[in-house]
Parts: sequence; structure tokens; C-alpha cells
Amino acid sequence: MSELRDLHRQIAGLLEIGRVDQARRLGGRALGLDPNDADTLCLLGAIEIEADNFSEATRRAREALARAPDHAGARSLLFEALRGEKSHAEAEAVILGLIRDNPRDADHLADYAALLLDVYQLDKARAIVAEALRCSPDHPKAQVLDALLHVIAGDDASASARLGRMVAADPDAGHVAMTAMVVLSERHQYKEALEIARELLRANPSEPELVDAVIELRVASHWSMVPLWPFQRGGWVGSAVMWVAAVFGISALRPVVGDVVAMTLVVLYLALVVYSWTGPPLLRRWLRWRGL
Amino acid sequence: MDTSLLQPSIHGRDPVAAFSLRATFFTAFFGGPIAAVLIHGLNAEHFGRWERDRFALLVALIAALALLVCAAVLISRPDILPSLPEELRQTKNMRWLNRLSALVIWAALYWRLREPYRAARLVGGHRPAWGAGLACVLIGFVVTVITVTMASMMVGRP
Repeated sequence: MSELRDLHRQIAGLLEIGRVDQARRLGGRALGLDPNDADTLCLLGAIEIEADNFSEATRRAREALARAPDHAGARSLLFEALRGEKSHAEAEAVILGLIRDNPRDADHLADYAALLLDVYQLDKARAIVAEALRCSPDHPKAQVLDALLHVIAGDDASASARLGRMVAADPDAGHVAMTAMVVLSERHQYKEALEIARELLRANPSEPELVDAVIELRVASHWSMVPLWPFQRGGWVGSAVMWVAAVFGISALRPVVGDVVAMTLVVLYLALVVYSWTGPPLLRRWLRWRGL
Repeated sequence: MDTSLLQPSIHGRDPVAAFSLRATFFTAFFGGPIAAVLIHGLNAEHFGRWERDRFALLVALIAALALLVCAAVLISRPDILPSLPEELRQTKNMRWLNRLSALVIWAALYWRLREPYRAARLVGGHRPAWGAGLACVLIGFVVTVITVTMASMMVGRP
């Protein structure tokens, strides 16, 4: 039995550092020792979640629950696997069961809020996050979700305030840095966000999402993007405003400034539009080719 | 805790990835006001917000059709509003105004749906929009032509 527990500890350690193949091999050995052990089945499911193989993780979680119906770890695993499979309604039924059993568990409340965010039920997600933070004011996942939900509401000041509290509590935590990157990027502070993204990438060099984030932030903060400031700042609404200003503004100015100046303005506007379409993709490709 | 929060709220079809804001912008820009309403309507469905937003979408659709009818009437019957500047009656300028109204409707519907759009950008991801975008542009064009033709025929020449 102690051999099985040792294997469980080793598998958990390997999962923490992302060694999925080695964890899977040890998982097979653990299953050989006791095919009916619910903890082993949960660990096998956790390995599959790490490998983004959610249907297999669901199967493992159900096997574990068939042997131990009240196993909290297996129920949490089933929730994660169903969420990964995008079976949102089933995942909701599982997480609500867990919350009803323990209404003050901030982990489960934060998990439910994350699920609600997946399905764009933002008002309810906010209420659940508030409840999670009432139960545990420093809960990391609930704080990240709170900051994200403030960003989604366009309330950058509250997102920054939440971020400030997170940094004060644990300045070195990965989730804090990730949240800071998102909040700073949404506030158009691309250089600061880029510095954080680079640090995160140094710590997790195999994360493709972080590579993409660094490239996007490098593009957004590059000097050659300065002419595209109205598009960057205003997004697609900015593009619409620029188009209206160009079409109707130049038409109105034409009798005053003359045809030559009006035509120059038209050419400049068209050049800016063409540059906004071609400049960022070319810079992105060049950064990828050159390396970060 | 408010016990209503523990009632299941995810019913029916699960929300799916939506079309990006860029795709909706280009669809509205090239397809006109009808296409703007259609592409936002599809996204409202993807966000699982059809029930909540259908009235706003209906109002936007009626506004888009009303604008087209007004444009057709003003071109066909200059005597109806003689004080209107001649430039505004020109077909070319009407096309610009049609595009402007498409962007206004696009922006208004974006404002209503801005939170799910931001959520999709941050956590949800986007789906390819070529097929749906082109379909909306085509439908928008056909509806625009039919509406303008019918309105012109109904008011007739003076």
C-alpha cells in the first residue's frame, strides 16, 4: 500500500512539472497494483486533463466515481473534464452538487464562476465570484476571475485595484503576473505588459500561448505601430470613426483646402489603411522568424 | 448565499465560439445595415443571448429597413422634401450614408453586446467567419435591393 502512495506522490510531482509521459507510465504501474483504487483513477484522469484528452479524463473520473461515489476529488475531476469537453450543462450539474455539499468552499465557487464565464453568463459569474471572495477574500482563482470580470465590464480602475491587492499579497505568484499582463494590455500599457509576458515566458518556455502573447505585445508596442495609434486605441470603433472622419471630413474640407490637398489627404488615409492591414502581420511574421 | 444562484442556468444548446469583432465590422462595412444586424444576431445566438437581445436586434432591423425606405423615397420623389440639399439626393452619397448607417447600427449593437465580445476575446476564442460573413453580405445586398426597389415603385415618380 505504501508503494501505491509513493507512486501517487511521484505522479503528482511529475504532473506539477508537466512530465505527462512519465506520469502516465507511473500511472500504469499504480493501476497494476490496484485497479480499483479511486485515487489512482483520479490521478490518471488528471494526467489526461494535463494532456488535453478530456474524453479519456471523463471516463477515468466516472470509473473512480463508480468505485467511490462520494469521492470529492473524482467529482472535481469530472467537472474539469466535462468543462474541457465543453459539456457545460453536465459540468454545471456536477459543480452545483459539490457547492451544495459545501456552500462555503471558495474553490468550488470559483470553478463555477469560471464555467459561467465560459458560457457568457457574466452577471451570475460576478455574483458567484463575490460569494467566493466573501468566503475566502484572498482566494487566488477568485481574485483572478474578479479582475477578468472587471476588465470585461470595461472597469479598468477596479481591475487595477484588485490587481494591486493581489500583488501586495503575493507579488511572485504566476497567476498574479498573468492577471497583470491582461489588465495592463487592456489598459493599452503594452510595454509594461510585454515585460511581464517575457518574464512569464522565461519561467514557462514551452507555453505556446505565452509565445503568442509576447509576439502580440511586441507588435503592439513596436515603434512602427505608432501611426496606427487610433486603430489600436479605439479598436474597430476607432476604425469606424477614422473612416467617417476621412470620407465626410475630406468631402467637407475639399471646397476650403482645394483638390490637391484633399487628394493628398485621401492618399494618406488610404496608405494608413493599407499599412494597418499589412504592417502588423508582416511585423508578426518577422518577429517569429527572428525569434523573440 | 442567495439560493437562486445555485439553480442550474445552463440550458439547451451550449454557447459556442463567436465571430470576431473584426469579422462583424467588415461584414457591416461591406454588407450594409441589414448585414450588420444579421452578423450581430448570429453572435447573440452564439453568446446564448438571443432571448435577451432579440428585441434590440428587431429594433435595429426595423431602423435599417426604415433608413433604406427613406433613402429610396428621397431619391425617387425630390418633391417630398424640397429643402434637402441636392448633394444628399445623389445615389453615390446615398451609398456613403447607407454605409455610415451600417456602421452606426454595428456600433450600437456592439455597445449592447460589448461584454460578451470582450469575454470572447479574453477567454472564449473566435470561429472562422468567412462563410457566415459572406452570406450576411449577400443577404443584406438582396434585401437592400428588394426594399429600395419596392419603396421606389410604391412612391412612384412625381
